[in-house]
Amino acid sequence: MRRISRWLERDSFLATILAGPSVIWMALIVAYPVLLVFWFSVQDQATFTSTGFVGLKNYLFVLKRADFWMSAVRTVAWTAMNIVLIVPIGVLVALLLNSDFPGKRLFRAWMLLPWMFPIVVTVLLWQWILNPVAGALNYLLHALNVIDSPLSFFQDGTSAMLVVVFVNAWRWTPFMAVVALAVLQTIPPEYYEAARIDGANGYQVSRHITLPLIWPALGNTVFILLIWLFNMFPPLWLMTKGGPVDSTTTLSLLIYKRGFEQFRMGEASAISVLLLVLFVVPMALIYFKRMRSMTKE
Amino acid sequence: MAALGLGQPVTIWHWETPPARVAAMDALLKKFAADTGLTAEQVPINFGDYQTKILAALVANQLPEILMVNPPQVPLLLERGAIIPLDELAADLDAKYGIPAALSAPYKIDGTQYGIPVLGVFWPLTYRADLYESAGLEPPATWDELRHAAEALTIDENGDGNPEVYGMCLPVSSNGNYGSQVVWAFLRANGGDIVEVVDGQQNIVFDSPATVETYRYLADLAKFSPPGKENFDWGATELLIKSGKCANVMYNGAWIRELAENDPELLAKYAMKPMPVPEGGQEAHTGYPRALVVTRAAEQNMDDVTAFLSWLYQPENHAALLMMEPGLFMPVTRATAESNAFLNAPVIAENRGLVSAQAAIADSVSIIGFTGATPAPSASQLESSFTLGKVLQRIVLEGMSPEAAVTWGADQYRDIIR
Repeated sequence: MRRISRWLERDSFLATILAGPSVIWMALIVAYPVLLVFWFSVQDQATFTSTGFVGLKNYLFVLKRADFWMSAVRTVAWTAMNIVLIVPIGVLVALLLNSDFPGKRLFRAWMLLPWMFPIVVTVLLWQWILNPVAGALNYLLHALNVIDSPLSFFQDGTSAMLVVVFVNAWRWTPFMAVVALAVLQTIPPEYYEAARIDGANGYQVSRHITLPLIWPALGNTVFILLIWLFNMFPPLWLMTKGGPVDSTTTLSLLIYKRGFEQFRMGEASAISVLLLVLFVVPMALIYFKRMRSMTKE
Repeated sequence: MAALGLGQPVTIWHWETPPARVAAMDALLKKFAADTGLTAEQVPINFGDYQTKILAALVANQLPEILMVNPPQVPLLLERGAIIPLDELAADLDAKYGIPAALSAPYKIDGTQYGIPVLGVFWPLTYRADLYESAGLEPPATWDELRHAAEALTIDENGDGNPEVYGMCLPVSSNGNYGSQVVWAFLRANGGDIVEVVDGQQNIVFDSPATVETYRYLADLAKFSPPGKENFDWGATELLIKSGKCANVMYNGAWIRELAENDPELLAKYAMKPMPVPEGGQEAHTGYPRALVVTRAAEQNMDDVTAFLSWLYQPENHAALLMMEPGLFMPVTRATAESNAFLNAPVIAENRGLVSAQAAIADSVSIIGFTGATPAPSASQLESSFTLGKVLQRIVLEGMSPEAAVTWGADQYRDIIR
């Protein structure tokens, strides 16, 4: 009796009671679709009908196909290029916003606009800007005598991918900047004062104070961003539908095409599981390991 | 939300989301309520999401009573047992208003009528009559004439090396359906096809000399198409028409109302006629007789659904439905086509030439997978793969030979029907 009473008095009991329903609910709504995808992936599953259990056949079939591996390579390239643009530019913008200059507040609000636009608006906006015949960019470049004939940005796979990466980075950089700015503002000003007294220049302050202090918190954001980017669908779909030919088809688009255009839910589910196992789970494990080591520190 | 029983509104899903079309449909449904005392409601769904929403509603048993569909969607709905036969109602409406058999046929499967055509969207050749006139050219009737005209009408007015008007706005695109829809019309005119159904088995017939010849012609024609052709979709092409930059383009009448309202002078310069044919070829067009299908959800209030459909096909009401986008939606019943309500409607009355040119090609339209007596079960998958457009991209953008690209395309199609 006393043991039960002691257990009831523990903080962990109250925490369990309060968080329990949410945890169970989240587990159910996450677990059900995940399990369903696993189940579909071992079925000969069309949209609505299954002709039965096929074991690992869908996985072996998908892994043998060039389109899966090409899409996987594109997914990695898409993610890497986005990270390379979003993170440094986001941090630079945050550093700028963390300094004092006239109109800082207005600039902060203005800077957030790309992130506040719905993705469809962003895509339409850029499609019109980039339109070779009627777009503003070609008009401007032509007026400035930079180009003689209009540029077609979706003419080949490489330029199409670069354009979508640019548009996506334009949209997500404010997110990174906001996070970086929040972290920057947690750095005690005394550190900078001490550095200045010691005669450190701007580069030395950034290299030895700012970056080491913001990186642990930013690292978590970058990991989350990595997972989002791996699974990202709207910008690529809305701008190119995965083309020209299939040159901007990442794994997310391949899953959609296989599942909702070809109605091969079994194969689409197998690709989803492979995406989860090969890419997302390792990244999540690294993320949790980081979190654990940071907690210990 | 599907109706639950008597007294509930009849719900219709469609994909005509532009505000003017939604408003026109609302007005029509209000008139239905006023005329009959019954109610109906619309759920406009973005075209890109339409198929996915239908699939989700099928699984959740939440389909509305009436769906607007294109032919490729019917086999999918039928496979799930989601739609019901409409033989009796279709025969009754045909007897009263005259529905051409060519438009009903894609919705007849194994002798049963599952859909009733409700409006037509047809894709003739749209051309700048003024430019033809000043160049002393006749509008093209053959592929050779089209090629010649496209070259002659690619016009650099200010001599800066960049044409102001392009001879042929030909999409080389797999960004949506448009690129493949254009290739399809040329392919059919030249006697090519994608799939045939023999004894219930689908057979890919895409890799034929006619297909290779078609692509060789299109790759040549693409030289006179503007920059950006590799990503053309419906919206980008409409913009080119509305800005007067296309001397020739295969397109429907979706742009007519806006030009009639905002730039009637430019509208007057455009004309329409059947697509040119190759030597020894046949007149062929891309076109969709859209239909209404009735789902199992209607079994609980079938009387209301029947009342709605019977009311809708009355020429006055049917013409009002077509006014969702005047100039784009063509009549699919003879009674409506000949009615004053349609012929004297705004935009239609002033642009009879453009309207009758579209209506005239109704008999020569075809859809991927629906060219034989039996629809191909994989019609929807074949169409939505946009392979026709991708093959042209491989030739024009990647420099692949037409033979190799067509073989690649046939392999893609075989992979789809495997």
